[in-house]
Amino acid sequence: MYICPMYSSELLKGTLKTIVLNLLKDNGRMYGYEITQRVKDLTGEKIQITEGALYPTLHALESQGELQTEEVFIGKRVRKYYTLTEKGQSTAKEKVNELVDFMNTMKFLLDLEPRTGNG
Amino acid sequence: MVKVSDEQVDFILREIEARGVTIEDLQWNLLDHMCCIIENEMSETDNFDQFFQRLLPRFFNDNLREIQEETELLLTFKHFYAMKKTVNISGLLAAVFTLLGSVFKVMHWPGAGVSFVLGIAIFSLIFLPLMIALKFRDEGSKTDKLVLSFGFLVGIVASLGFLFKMMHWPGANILMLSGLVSFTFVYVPLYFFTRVRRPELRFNATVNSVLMMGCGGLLFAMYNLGYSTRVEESSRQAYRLLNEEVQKMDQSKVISVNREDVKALQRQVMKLNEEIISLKSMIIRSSAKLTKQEYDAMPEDEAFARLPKEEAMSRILNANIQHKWDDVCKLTEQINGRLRTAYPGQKDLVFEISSIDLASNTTKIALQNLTLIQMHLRLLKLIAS
Repeated sequence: MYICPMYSSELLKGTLKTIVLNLLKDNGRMYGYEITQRVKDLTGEKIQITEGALYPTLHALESQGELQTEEVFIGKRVRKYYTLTEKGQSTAKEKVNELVDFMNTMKFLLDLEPRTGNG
Repeated sequence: MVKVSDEQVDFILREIEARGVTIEDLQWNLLDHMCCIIENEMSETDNFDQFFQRLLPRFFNDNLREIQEETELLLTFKHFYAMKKTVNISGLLAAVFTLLGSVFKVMHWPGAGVSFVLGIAIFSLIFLPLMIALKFRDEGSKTDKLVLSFGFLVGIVASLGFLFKMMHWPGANILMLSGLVSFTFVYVPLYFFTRVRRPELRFNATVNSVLMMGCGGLLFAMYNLGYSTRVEESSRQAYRLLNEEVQKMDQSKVISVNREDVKALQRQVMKLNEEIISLKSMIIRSSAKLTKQEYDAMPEDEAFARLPKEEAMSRILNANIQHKWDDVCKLTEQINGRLRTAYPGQKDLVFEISSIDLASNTTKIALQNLTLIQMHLRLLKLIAS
């Protein structure tokens, strides 16, 4: 139910927050559908965020004060645009750094790139 | 590009609601998302209803409510974490304060009360309620949730009862008794019978039930613990002895004398004695809840033994008893006055009734004090002849 279809959901479970925060850092204001489409386009459909995973994460990030919302009426429906708060900006940086670090460590650990590694 | 009509928007929103999504924000998000998909991916020739039924499964594995459940889980996770932390800290604090409190109390050091109140208040008002909340989340089966929560609730009541008892606050007995009884005779059996049927829990359930039954039973047995029967018996004997001595006064004949002032003294002494007998009867009947017939039918010391333990006079002090006591004081003072003139050299004959503060006595001590006055009257009767 997390992110599909190319990679296993266990593998991608921990990265959804990072993906969302980083996208918003780069693009400013986005709404849910836009986020899913952007990820799909950027990864050539290798990673597709499912709706069932995206919205719970967005709501959780909002309640933690990482995101703020803006509601725009489109006819009878409401569209919620998400932007990073100041806290969200720094969390996005931290999350990206953490993931990069993690990827380097994994490369080292799995013996794909023996030179690098972190400690 | 297709435009989603207002009717279709209403239809989709109704569908979302009907499938169990109740968080309004989430409803709006899903609605917009579905509309976006329809507008971007549906072709002019597609049928709206069919397309909608096809797009729905993209949002879930089994049903749409999963999204809401996942959202709630993420929203409460942080909260849950903080709760577990609070449970740990409050548990530690409660244990430390209660232990300190008991050590201080045993050593008679100042600060025992404060420490106890803090410890037990943290335990019963923070720790246990949080445990209920946590168990409600953690436990799988509904029965276990209810039984354990009931147990913690009973624990709250009982520990508050202990605290109240220790601090001599009102309402302690009812809290302690209801807590202990429901713990020992309701919670433990419930716990046992809901768990013993499950083979994996049987051993633990049995051991825990026996332990809890033991603790609960012992505490319950101690609840009504007062003085030992020996103490009770000796105070009853002391009272009987005193009363028997006093009763000799009624049997001894009044010696007729010619002096008017001594005759008047004799009359006053007898009158005061009657007043005291009637006051004692009022106190005993009111405290032991006896009718006049029942009281008259039983020996004085048996009625005395029926008095509730450590009952304060202030609890049963009504207008009648207070009035009677005032009469007794007044009469005693009159007798004292007469004694001072009739026997100016004998200061010891005067009974200092003002040294008795009846309202602050227990009922038993009050009765003994009154009987002491009767003893003194017996002496006066002998002298005034």
